[in-house]
Formats: sequence, C-alpha cells, structure tokens
Amino acid sequence: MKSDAPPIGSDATPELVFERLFNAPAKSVFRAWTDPTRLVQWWGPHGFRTTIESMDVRVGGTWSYVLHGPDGVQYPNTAVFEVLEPPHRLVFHNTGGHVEDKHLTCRMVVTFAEVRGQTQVTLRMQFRSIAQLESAKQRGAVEGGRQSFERLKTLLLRN
Amino acid sequence: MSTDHLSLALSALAHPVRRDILANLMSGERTVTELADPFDMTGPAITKHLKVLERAGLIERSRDAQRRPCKLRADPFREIQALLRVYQPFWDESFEKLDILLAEEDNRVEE
Repeated sequence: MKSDAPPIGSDATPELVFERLFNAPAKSVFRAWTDPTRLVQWWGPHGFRTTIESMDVRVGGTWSYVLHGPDGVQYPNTAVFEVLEPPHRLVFHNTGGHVEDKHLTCRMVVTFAEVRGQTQVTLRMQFRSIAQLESAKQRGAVEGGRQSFERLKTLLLRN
Repeated sequence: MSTDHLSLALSALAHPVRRDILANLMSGERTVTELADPFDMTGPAITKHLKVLERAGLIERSRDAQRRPCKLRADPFREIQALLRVYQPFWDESFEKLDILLAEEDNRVEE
C-alpha cells in the first residue's frame, strides 16, 4: 500500500489514473515532459501534432500549446506549472481543449518512479468539479454504454 | 466536494485498497472476511472502505443472506468507461510515441 494513500473515509479528488512503465531512467522521462523540443515529438494521439507557443518551465510559469487534429481543428491549451521536482514529480493545471474534450480543465499530477533503470510514470487527471467532468462524460457517453468491465479491469490491474 | 455519482465513484476509486477490493470482486461475490483476507487490515477498516464503495454505488451488499456478500454494480462503471473512452486513447497513443522517443535517445547515447 502506498504511503500517500488518502484516509479511508475521505472524499478524495475525483481522478483518472494512467500508468506506464518506460524503459529509460527517470531523468530522461522527466526531460521528455519538460523540454519543448522533446515534448512535441510525443504529446497527443496518432494523427495529431502539437505546437508550443511558450513554455516557461518553473513554478508558476505558463505553458501554451496547440493540438492540431488530423481534420485541421485546433485545440489551444494553457497550462500553469504548480510543482517541478525533477526527476520525481510534475504538477500542472491545464485549461483548454483536448482532443475529444474542448473544455478540459484539470490538474495533472505526474510522478516518475525509477526502479533499476526503468521508470514507472503515474499520471493522475484530477477534476475539481462536476462541471469539469460533465463535458467529458457526455462526449464519451454519446458513443453508447456497452456493459463491459474490460477497460476498467485494465485500469485496475495497472494500479 | 460534489455529490454527483460519477464524482463519488471516481473519488472512491482514488484509493489503492478500494481498487484492489474491486479487482477482487471482478471474479464474483465475496464476503467481507474474504475481501479482508489479502490485506493486513482489521475488519472495521475494510468495512469502512466497503461503505465508501457502497455509497459511491460501485458495490452492493445483499440484504437477506446472512453472509451479506458484496458484488459489483454495473451502472457507475459504464459512466467511468465513457470517461476512459475519451482519455485512454489519448494517453495510450501519446505514451507509445514517448516510448519510441526514449528508445531513440537511448540509441543515440550508445553510438
């Protein structure tokens, strides 16, 4: 059990958690998140391109970027860095459009845990209010809710 | 904190023990004792976690049977899935590209 686990009965922040193990030291992975020339090479799903207008990598600094969809649609975003602890922890607050959610506002908490040269990245998308969840929820729900635990199983097993 | 059921469900999922409990329930009903077994926790501690999960609508406990086993409820998971359908591909595909970038950088160092 992780030591940063919230108390049993607490209403923790609603969040989605994504995890992945990378075959590289934490220093390299952290750099890929905070160096604009590297970040644009991977940020966004297939078919998307990211351009960075500015990236002031320090606490309180602003990062402005645009996601360009394959159909030419642009999704401008602004993020503000809240925590920068290289190469362990990165927190920023994102406001703007994501690929399928034009009004994505959430806090992204990213941790980098190095074990024997590999790095476990845990990304928590924390939503602060119902309104922030609603647009994303509706978008996904439109596609219809087939009852399957598979996705969740994947999520749970990763944790 | 909001009280709508999706927020409640995600909040409940934010705890590693509760995620483990749900993972155990994927394969079927379990009693509290069975659920407590893998953890080094007291019965009351597990019961508190179960109450959070129950309040979030993620599990239900049968009323009549004496063992009162717990089982998963499908509805909230459907909503969580809807959310994941939006963000899972974003991060899966981004992370695939990051993987490739890191491998390329590693090769460059070795050359």
